[in-house]
Order: sequence, then structure tokens, then C-alpha cells
Amino acid sequence: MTAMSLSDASDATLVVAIGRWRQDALAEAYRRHAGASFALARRLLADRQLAEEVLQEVFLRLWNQPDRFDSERGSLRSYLLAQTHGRSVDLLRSETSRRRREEREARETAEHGTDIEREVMDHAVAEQVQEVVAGLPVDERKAIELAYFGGHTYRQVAVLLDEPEGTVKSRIRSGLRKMRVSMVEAGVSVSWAES
Amino acid sequence: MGRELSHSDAGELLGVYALDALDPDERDAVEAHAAECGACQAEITQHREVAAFLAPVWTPAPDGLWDRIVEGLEETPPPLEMPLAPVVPMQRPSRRSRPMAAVAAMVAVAAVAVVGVLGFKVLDDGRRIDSMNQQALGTEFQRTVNAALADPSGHRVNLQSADGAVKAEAVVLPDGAGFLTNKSLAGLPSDHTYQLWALVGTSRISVGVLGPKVASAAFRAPTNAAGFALTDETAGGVVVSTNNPVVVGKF
Repeated sequence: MTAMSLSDASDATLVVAIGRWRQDALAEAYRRHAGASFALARRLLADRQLAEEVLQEVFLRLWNQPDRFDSERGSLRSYLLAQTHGRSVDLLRSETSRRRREEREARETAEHGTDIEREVMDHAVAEQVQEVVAGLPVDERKAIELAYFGGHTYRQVAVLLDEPEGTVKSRIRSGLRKMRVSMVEAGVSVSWAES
Repeated sequence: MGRELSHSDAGELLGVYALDALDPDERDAVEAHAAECGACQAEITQHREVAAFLAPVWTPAPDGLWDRIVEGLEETPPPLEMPLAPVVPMQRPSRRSRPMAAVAAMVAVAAVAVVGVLGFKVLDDGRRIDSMNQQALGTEFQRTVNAALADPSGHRVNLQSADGAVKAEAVVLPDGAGFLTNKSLAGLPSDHTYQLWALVGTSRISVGVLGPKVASAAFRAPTNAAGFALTDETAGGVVVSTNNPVVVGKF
């Protein structure tokens, strides 16, 4: 695989090349996915510097542990976003970022702080995704918002929404399932294809 | 001992797990269950694919961030395209030695040989490539292996056990890319791993730690490799082996 072919390479091929210490392959993965990862980290952390640290960590992890990505289990985009989300949430829940979080939550209430309908504008399929999100029952959408963008555990979401924990678990799972079904019906690819 | 979840209990947590909305103990319990449950793993994957669509507006990554990432890469081993580690000096096997005994002799000497930093890096590269091979990277990887095995320019060698049975096949392409495919290698216990060695002169160099169950694997072959051997090691592999090879083959 030559450097010229990398821009056309599949994500799986890129990761194989990263496994062979091809720095240009990592650069191509960064070109494709760093923007989305950075946007997510910044959205969660409300802190540009922390978001940069997360992004740096995520791509260094891809370099050092490319085997953790399995193309049979999803796209590289979703893998990197999951890594970004997980690390960002860890930081959100850490002591060091407690104050930042409290400051942010002072500005953003559970009622008005997140709005995934406005957040989803990243894809060529943004309109379809927005419609899918808008079509979710409000209680399911709100639970997903608080968990995904608020970085809250489902127990915390239950407290915020004054609902039983079991109800919150079920709503999140149900909401994600409905989104998937609706996306498929809308022609949005949610298969394991490359992004 | 972590908490064990039933399939039903784990299922109820899959959505919140995919959104990182679990406490650590529950997260660990879901991961333990999903590691053994394909259905739950598949559902987690589906949830994460959906969640990825929720990511906010694409934002250009900050200037200079890529440079900082590249700086971080300098602490990692060199690219495989760079020259491989120097061969570890080994004693020549006795003239009476049969191939298997010769390899065993190499191992014994290697055990006391001084292994330099570069030698360790080669092992590290092997671990990296090999663990990726265990993930297999899907059908695309298998297609690559199949193409290599069918490539007429490749040098092929059968790896045989002591009884002469062909247990694995390796091929090395002109650019040094090597591929190994399992013919009839038995799986090892989960706390063991197959480790692949290139035979170079009277030395052998680790080129891959393949895990306990081998399907196909890619590796980087030294240009002067005369053959390959597989040993059974404890999980994680070793810098030098004291074990007799399970299979060996020479060009």
C-alpha cells in the first residue's frame, strides 16, 4: 500500500497500516475523524484544552493499540467517537474537572442544557438523523441527551428526571433501538460500513 | 470477584453501557458478560453506531495538535519498514542435530543471550501485529492473506510438527510482508500464546505473538529468514524462549 493510496483506503486497511507503524496511515485517520472527535470532546467537556488532551490521547491509543479496533464491530468513526466519549466522561467525573462541570451545569439546566436536535449537523445525512431524533418520545430523547451529552450515569439521570432507575435504563435502550430502526428506514447507513 | 450478570440483566444495561452511563462496577460486569456473549456485543456495537450519529458539528481540529501527537509517537518503536533488530548471536547447533533439535538448541542459547533494546522492539512489533491478527480485521484481512498465499512471487514454507504433520503454512512476499495461516494447529489455553520466530542463521527473531488460537497472521519477515518456528509461550510472549518449538519449517 503506497502513501498515495491511503486517501482511498478503507478504515480497516488504514488500521492495518497503523499496525505496521505507518504514520501516514494515522495521519489519514486523523484527517478523517479528528474533527468529529474534537467536536464531541469539546461539547462534553466545555473546555478546549481538555478536549485537545482527549483527542491526543485517543489517537495515541489508536497508534499504540490498533488491535483494539475491530472492523467487524463497527466503523472506525464510531470506535473513535466511543473512545472520545468514554475518556471525556471519565474526565467529567473526575475531581479535577468537577468545578468546570459545576460551572457548566449552573448555566445549563437539565431542561434546557442539551438539545441533540441542534447538535446533529455533522453528516451528509444530518437532516434524516435530525428527523429521527425529533421522532423519539420526549422522555427517551431527554434520557439519552443527559447521558450522552451530560456525561451522567443513568442513576444520575434518574435523579435529574425524577424517574425510577429502571425506567431510565429502559428508555435509553428503547430510544437507541428506535433510532436505529428509523435510520435504517430513512436510508441512513448504520451498518458496519466505513464512514 | 466481580459481579456476574445474567443475560437478561446485562441486556437491560447495554444501552446505558454504550453511552458510558454506568458506574465502574456495573460497567465491568457488562464487559465481562459481553466478552462471552456475541448477542450482547453486537447490540453494544449497534448502539454505539447510532450514538456516533449524535456527535456534534464537525469542528476543525486545533492547529498544532497533530504535531503534538506526532511528538508522542517518537516514544514508540520504529516503523516496521525500518531495519529489523540485529540478530541475537547463537551457538551453532551440533552436526547431529535434526531440525527440531537444532531449533531447541537455538532457544537454549538465546535464553542466556543478551537481548538489546532493538531486540525487545522487534518483540513489541510482533505483539502489536499479532494481536491485530487475532482481531483478524474482518474479511478484508483474510482476503489479503489469501492473496499472499496465492502470489506466485511468494516464498512458501510448511511448518511441521515433530511427527512431520503440516500444521501451518507461511509465505513471504518480495517486500518482506509475511503471512501465516493455520492448517491444523490446536488451540492453546487462554493463558498461553503461540509465538512466531524467524530463523536467521543460527539465531531466531520474534516476529509475532499470535495468541492462543491462530487463524491467520501477518508479520514482517527479516530479509534473510531461512525459515520459521512456532513456540508455545505464556500469554504476552517472551523476549527469548526456552521452549521447544511446536512446529518448524525451513525454505
